[in-house]
Amino acid sequence: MDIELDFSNLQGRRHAASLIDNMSVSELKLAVLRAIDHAHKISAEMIENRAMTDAAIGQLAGLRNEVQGLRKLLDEILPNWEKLQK
Amino acid sequence: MTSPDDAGPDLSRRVNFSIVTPVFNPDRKAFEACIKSVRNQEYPHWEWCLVDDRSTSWWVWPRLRFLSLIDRRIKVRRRSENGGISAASNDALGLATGEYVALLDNDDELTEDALAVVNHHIVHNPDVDYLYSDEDKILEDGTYGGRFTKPDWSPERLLCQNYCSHLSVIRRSIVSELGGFRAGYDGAQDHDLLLRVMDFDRSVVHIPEVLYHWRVAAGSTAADVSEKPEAVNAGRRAVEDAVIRRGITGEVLDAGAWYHRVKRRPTSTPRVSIIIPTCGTEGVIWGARNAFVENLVASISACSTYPDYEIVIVYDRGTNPLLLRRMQDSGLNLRLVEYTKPFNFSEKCNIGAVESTGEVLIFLNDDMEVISPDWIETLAAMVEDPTVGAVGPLLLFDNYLVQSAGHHAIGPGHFARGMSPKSPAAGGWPLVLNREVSGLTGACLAIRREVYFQVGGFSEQLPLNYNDVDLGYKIQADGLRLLWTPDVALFHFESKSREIEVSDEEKDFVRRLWGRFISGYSREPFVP
Repeated sequence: MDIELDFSNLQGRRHAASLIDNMSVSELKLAVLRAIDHAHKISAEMIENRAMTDAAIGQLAGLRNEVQGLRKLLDEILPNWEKLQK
Repeated sequence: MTSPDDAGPDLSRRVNFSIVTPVFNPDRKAFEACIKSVRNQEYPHWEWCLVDDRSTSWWVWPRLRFLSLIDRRIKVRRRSENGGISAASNDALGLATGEYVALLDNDDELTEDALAVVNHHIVHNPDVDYLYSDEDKILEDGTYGGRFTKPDWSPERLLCQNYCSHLSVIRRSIVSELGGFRAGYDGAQDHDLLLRVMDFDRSVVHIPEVLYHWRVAAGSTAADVSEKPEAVNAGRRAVEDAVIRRGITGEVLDAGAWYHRVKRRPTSTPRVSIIIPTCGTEGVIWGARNAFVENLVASISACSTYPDYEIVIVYDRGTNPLLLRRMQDSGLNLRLVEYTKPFNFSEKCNIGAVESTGEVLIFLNDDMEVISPDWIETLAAMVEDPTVGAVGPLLLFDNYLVQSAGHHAIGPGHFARGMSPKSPAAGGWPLVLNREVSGLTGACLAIRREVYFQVGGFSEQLPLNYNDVDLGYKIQADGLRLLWTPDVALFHFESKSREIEVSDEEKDFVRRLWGRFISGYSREPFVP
């Protein structure tokens, strides 16, 4: 019997529970091993996503600083530009 | 670990460094270059502790005295008699008051930014005990070359080779606690000191920049360590002492290329399960056609000296039943487990693991042949270390060239594929050293049962390729090391010209999870 267990939702947990009494020891061991691998993957993905988010936040902060710098420059240039236009 | 950002080194904290230099009859021009490299440091918070080991050249001591008069940061002393490099270095340590000591030889040079860069890394790693950088050589024509790009912290490799060498910066309190350099280890005094420092759990940072130029001169160890056989002997004793101090069971071997290697012996003989997924493929082995798995099992039986192992063969439905019968009747402690689903290497291995009974698991591809009789005990001994996750051996093609000597992260791929196992490879002689690696091939991999289950085994979402890459990253994510050893060798009859076709899906799968191990690196962390 090939058992795929998904503990992430109620339906999956109910299905897993219904199998317990009929599982062989080997099938149970494999199911646990797969669950551990799955949990490891979720953790790894979260860490990767957090790293990407941190990197993106850093980039956004950098962009914001650049925008502020440009705005300041514009504030200095615009009055003179308007005078010249007149 | 962080690198200096584009704005330059971080100077929010200013560490005081004590540069320690024993002096004995240096080449005058080289010594002046050394002096210039220290006094031109961008970072000013240093003292330089120089001890003249009773040089016979008349100019040395007057030169040191003059330096101490013109620069208050320079402290000098002259020994009453020649005592050797360790004694002179200890006297220099006696003058030191800085928080960290930096070791500098009297004819070498620091880069201008060396101390600034080291300070930056200390600022970002305030608990660091030891830092080491990359180095290059000052060639005989005065140019710089021969960069040694070092691996990240590799304690197993340090046991074989003082790969850290220059520039080494150590927290002074640790050096003081250990009593400094030991007499009788001249020529390998730095290696001996580092090994004693690393007897305990320390915080270590590798700075992947050249901060030190090591002078190549005739008769120097920078040119050829064999020029100083006493240095090689001292190195051996330093490793032997470390083995005894750490309670390692094993022997120190001559690794060739003037390095030494610790060949461990297991402290117990746990059952080892050798798990072989197979579909009974046949091929030409040593000129004769045979089933790979049968040849492998015969070589295990004929060669192996380990007293307690079982073989678990996970075979595909459709495997030649006569082949299975022959193996079943071989008299070996062998189990056959049928696999009835479409090919999935990972799942077959997991089934083999679940059906096995050993405390140590060795996964083997069926197209292998054992070379080293003590292969099982050597691998089992190395995975005994609780900080080790998995160990892999040297795999050779049938032409005795390297098939795999560990994985490198960027790629990833087999390191040294097609090279001679005696090759200096990238120059650091990685093929003769036990060392940390970024990954191990699933063709032969030893792992403690508890670790294999802790990381969820091979991922069945990777049925063909990169399942070993993924396993390696899971192990490292759990804080365990991957080791490779040349003390165990097997043939791997994989076609030498076969290109492994990894699908984009497999690559994306691994990158999505382990980007910080792969694309997060601009360099290979365990580059040989």
